[in-house]
Amino acid sequence: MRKAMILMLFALALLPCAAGAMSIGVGAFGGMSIPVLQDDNGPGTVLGLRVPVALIPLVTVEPYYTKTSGGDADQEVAGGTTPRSGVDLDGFGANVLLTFGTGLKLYPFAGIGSSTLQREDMEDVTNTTYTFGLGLGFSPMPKLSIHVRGELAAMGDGETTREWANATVGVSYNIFSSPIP
Amino acid sequence: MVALVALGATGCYLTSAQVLVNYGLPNPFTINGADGFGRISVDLNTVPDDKDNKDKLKAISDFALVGRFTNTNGSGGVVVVYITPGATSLTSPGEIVAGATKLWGPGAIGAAPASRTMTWDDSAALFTAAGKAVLLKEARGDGEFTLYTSGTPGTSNVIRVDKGILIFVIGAGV
Repeated sequence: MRKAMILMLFALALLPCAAGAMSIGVGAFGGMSIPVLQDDNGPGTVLGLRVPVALIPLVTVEPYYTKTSGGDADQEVAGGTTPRSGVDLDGFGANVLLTFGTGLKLYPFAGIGSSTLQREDMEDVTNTTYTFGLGLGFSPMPKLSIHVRGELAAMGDGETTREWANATVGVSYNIFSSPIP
Repeated sequence: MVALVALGATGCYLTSAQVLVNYGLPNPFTINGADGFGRISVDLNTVPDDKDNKDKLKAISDFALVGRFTNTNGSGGVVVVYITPGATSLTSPGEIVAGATKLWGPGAIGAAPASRTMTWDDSAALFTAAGKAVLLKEARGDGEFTLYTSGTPGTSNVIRVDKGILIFVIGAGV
């Protein structure tokens, strides 16, 4: 079911190409990633690329690729510090954004994707990732926009999940736009 | 919005945590080549973090045996850790291999006086899936199990483990 949902979101992103898209952009982002309730994983960085495709005035579908590098977790065990290498996450998926405002845009978003969890000396785990959050965007010059986002990402890890709180800053460039059909 | 619907449908999403639990082993303990094994009884009920999360325990995300391994006498070899549910008294390396489940290892050490500090990263790679299943079952159950440390068959050495600690990270619902 999750593969179907991911494919559906990608299909939604491509739909305007056939129906007369309002705009398509490319963007990059980076920021901090903080593991939530994970004793064995430390704060790290998140980097990624996204392709915002505006479908109708309020709705944008945004395929993305993201790479999270977890920091080492230094745990106090029996009076000493025991480090454990952090958990890395590679993933792709798509978000749906509901955009409000004109100059300064506020947008809640949610998405679904597939991510691979990697850590030194452990087998990789690939599973569905869910994201949701809130973003703020503004355009300092035509075609260029800057975005600040806060999001929570959750990934299945066996019978449990791992969660991250991400704070990112990104830049998007509008490469194509057409009038509203 | 599809994602939000799916998120709600999964139930457990956003309600899990990875909680570190550690259990101090006798300090030091030795694996003597003369009899070939050591036995350690573990009762997780003595660990507050484990006891507090027992009813929420869903998985073991990570496991490691850390400590300083020193070969105090004899040639080099390996250390393997086996596990049995409950309190058992296996009496020979043969019985251990036949009746217990391999949990961890082999961790190699050189000839005396070689010494090696086993880190969390080094150790986590030596954890077996079968042993993890037994450990998870015991952690969910009465929390009592027996660990057997075994040396290299036919090798006469004495390996001392200082500050040996079992570390496991449990996946728990919150």
